[in-house]
Amino acid sequence: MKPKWQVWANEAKAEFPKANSALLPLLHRIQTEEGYLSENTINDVAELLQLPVPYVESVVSFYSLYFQKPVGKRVIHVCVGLSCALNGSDQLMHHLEGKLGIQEGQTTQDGEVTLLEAECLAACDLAPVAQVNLRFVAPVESADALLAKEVNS
Amino acid sequence: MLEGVKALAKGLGTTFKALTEPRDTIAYPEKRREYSPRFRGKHMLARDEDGHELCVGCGLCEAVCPAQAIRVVAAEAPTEKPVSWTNRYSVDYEVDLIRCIFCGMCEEACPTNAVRLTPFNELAAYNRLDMIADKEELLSPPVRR
Amino acid sequence: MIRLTIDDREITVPEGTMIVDAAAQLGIDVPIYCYHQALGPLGACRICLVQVEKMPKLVTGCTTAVQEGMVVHTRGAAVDKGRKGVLEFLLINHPLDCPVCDKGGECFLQDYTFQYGAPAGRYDEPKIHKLKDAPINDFIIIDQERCVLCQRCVRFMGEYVGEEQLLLEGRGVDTVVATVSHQPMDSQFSGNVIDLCPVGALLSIPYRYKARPWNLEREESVCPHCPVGCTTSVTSREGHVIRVEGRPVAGRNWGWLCDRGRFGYDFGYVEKRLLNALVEGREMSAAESTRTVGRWLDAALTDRGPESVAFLVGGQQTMEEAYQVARFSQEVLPGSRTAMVRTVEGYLPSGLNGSFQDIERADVVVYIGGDPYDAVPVVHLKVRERQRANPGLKVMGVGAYELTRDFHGAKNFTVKPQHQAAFLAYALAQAGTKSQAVEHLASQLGTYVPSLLNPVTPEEIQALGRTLLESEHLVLLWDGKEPEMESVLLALRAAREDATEVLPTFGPSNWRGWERAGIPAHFASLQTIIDDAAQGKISVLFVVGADLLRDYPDREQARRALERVDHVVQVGLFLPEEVQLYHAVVPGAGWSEVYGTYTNMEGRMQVAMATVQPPGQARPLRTYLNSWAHALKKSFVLESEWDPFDDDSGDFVPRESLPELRPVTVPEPSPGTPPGSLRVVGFSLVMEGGMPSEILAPRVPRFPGRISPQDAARLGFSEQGGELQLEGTMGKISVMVAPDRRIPDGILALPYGIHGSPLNQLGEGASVKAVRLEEVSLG
Repeated sequence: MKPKWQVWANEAKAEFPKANSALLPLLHRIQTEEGYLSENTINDVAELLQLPVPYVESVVSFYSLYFQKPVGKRVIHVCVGLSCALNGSDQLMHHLEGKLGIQEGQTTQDGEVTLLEAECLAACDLAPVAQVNLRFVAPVESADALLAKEVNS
Repeated sequence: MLEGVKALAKGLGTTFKALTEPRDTIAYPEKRREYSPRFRGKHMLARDEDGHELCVGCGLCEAVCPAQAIRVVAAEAPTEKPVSWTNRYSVDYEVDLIRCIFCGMCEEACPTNAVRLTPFNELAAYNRLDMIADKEELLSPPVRR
Repeated sequence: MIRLTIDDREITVPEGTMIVDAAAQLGIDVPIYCYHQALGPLGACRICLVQVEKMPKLVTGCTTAVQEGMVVHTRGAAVDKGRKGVLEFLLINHPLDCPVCDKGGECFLQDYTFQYGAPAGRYDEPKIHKLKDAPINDFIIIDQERCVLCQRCVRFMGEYVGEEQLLLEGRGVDTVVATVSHQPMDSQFSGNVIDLCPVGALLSIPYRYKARPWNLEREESVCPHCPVGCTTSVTSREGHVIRVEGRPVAGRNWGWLCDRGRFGYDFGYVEKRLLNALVEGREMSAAESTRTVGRWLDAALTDRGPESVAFLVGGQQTMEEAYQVARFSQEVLPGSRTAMVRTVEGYLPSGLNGSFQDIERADVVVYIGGDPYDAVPVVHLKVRERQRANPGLKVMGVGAYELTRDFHGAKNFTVKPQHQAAFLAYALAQAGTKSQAVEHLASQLGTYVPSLLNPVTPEEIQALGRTLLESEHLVLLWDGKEPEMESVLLALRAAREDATEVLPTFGPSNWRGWERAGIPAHFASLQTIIDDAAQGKISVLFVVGADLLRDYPDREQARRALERVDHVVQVGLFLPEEVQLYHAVVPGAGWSEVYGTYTNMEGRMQVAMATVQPPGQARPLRTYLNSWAHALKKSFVLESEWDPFDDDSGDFVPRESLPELRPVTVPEPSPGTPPGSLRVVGFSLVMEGGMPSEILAPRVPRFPGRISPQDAARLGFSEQGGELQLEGTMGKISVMVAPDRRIPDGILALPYGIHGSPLNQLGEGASVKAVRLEEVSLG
């Protein structure tokens, strides 16, 4: 546990009347810094907010934007919703998998890219849609174009 | 007396007529009859093309058997050495052929099509124990000559 | 009370009753997966849809409380269509593996699909695949594909037991039940999730693929392992017990079992089980052995008279068998003595004995000496359930270490061993009551001032005394270690007007029943026989269903007794420890093999049916008694089965009037343990000791001993613990110990009856020299 997590936990707790409400923001804050939420982190957060460990573990596993495994520098979400599927998100995913040499849900060996699928990202007019580190790239021209996209932090 | 002669002639007539008629009996076991392909004889346990047993030991045949002639004991097979196509298989599979009424309900109940009734019907033995077919016996079905 | 109509039938139920429970009272079956009365409503599975008139849509019967004048229809086109739809969703990703699923034939998903479901699914997409056949501990296997996410298991472990070891992981169609941090479940109540699972997702490993429901013979039984006497049903196939399940009894219990009761049923088939008689080192048939034993008996009678014969009853015996021993002793050998094999010395008069219903009404529960979680696990659940219903329930512990686990607002008084009775008497005296009994008790204390091992102020002791005297419904759970406690409990009962009930958590599990059958229960009767035997006054000693060396508190004395007796005859299921001391060991029949009555810690008599035949040469006790009588040329015929039940007290053994108060011995101020020494405190641990079990072997704690973390650090042990050599005045043992933060410094808590590290080699309360043997690392 890092000392500043205690500070963050107190800040988050002050914002909400109940400890479980403070859970999501605190997890987000820690994940932004750590990159992912390990089992130890989950235990620490449970201790900080005095919540049962299984409760925190359930929450973390529920939301797809909390990562329980380390992710790459770039996290690519490819929308597999209906409009994107009709506009070729399947092929896009297939190309990406080929280019990166990984399967959906995996991270490249060098830790650069994590490839994930996402349900409808609510930008159907721009299908096919992808996100790089949660920023929209749409419509995606090609797998290469998507991979060449600069990551602006 | 004339009556008696008439009766005798009638009787002998029937006898001599039968001499020329085609015979109903066959010279079993040198000769055997053809049975319907759906004839229900002794059971067998089938294997799939890889040689794995189809029987998973679910015991439905045992449950459905109206004569209570079947006994199934299942077990878990080691994953490295599968016996059946899944990790469950039957360790013991016994059919008591004295009890069996050859109704074919086991065949009908089997979810994996493992137990089948063959046309083999030569089910004689010198003692009762030999009339209980064990799994080994059922896995190598007899061929009807 | 609320009146409503269900399926055209009227019923009146209390307010807050759920529709499904009201329907159940009418015998109307509403399908259920997620709801369980003990866990409360959830509404996760939606299968219990019913139609309520004037409500626009179908409602879930398990989350809808009854209302005055409600008209409910549990069947009908709309309801059936709703359930059909729910089932279609539940079955979308459900694998079609009923033929290989152990639940097949007793599965609610199968049953309801058969009753309400569609003949074929309309969903053609590939099914989602999840984890299959994955063990979550040594006894339970999970199949996530079969799970209908009813959450019964998750809620049972979390809310009911309070050991959160299961959780829901993921979201939507990917949700699965998993263990916390993917670690194996180690709760001693884990097996209950098998009974709770309505489908084939959580299944028993020992029962895996063993049988189908239609192969089984199911008999009602009672768990023999501890004094709780949980109601079970024992299933057997082809003469083998293959499964034990909890048997709920309406209004009394939910059918929860601990893992010892659920999985420890294989003791009849372990390698240690006796199958032949062993007479003077020679194997022989049981019938032949009776002639030899008869000769010994005959010789003893002619040479030294029946006073030189004694019977010790213990272990697994039913009340009927104890009665047979008592009758045999009186009729065939008048003058011979009987006693029961005890581990602790305390005795509880039946007049003080409470029942589990007292826990359901309690406002204060006091644990004395031991933690029920270790000795009588299911009682722990009962106390937890009471605290759920009454959050104000006070749980207090008076023992050599902290006893109360995680109860809210619990308070512990850590008192040195052998001081607990005096401490409670002191606390009562401090409370300032005018009760004669308490004043009498206080007068004996003199200047005694207790010294506690944890920081407690005099005010807190006074408050304890007042709570004991003033609570509305007081329940005390006593481990029977200090015989003087009996007087304190009697004084407490005399000083109070409100209910004061004691539940004895000590064994043997059926001791109250044997007492009713005519076997003296006081420790003194056992001690006299053992001491006489050690002095060579006993010629033939029968030990029936007990392991004397394991169970008697003084192992050396027991050994001396066995050595000095001319002929020791053991009737039992297993080879006793140090079998060379026995002249004859004959195989007996036990639980699940003989019909009989067991009396539990409430004093409630419960019948256990015989399910299987005893293996090998094992015979019921009466067979031996008959043939021994025959060998003596005497007749011993039990004309009729004895009926232990009483017309007035029903299921309970009759409560006798309370005895006179006996004096309380004021303990010497103990000199304190010298440095490097630990004081030994025994406790009964249901997972350790008792009857052997191969299934349970992985669950038997590797580190049965418990010491304080400070002592562990001083001895140089890591967090896991290690092996300790203990040397006392009586002997020397080595034992595996682990640090436990509930144990105060200088105390070693050790379960009774550990094989290889017997506590009775050291003596209860003894101060022993402790030396670290070696660090033991776990792989």
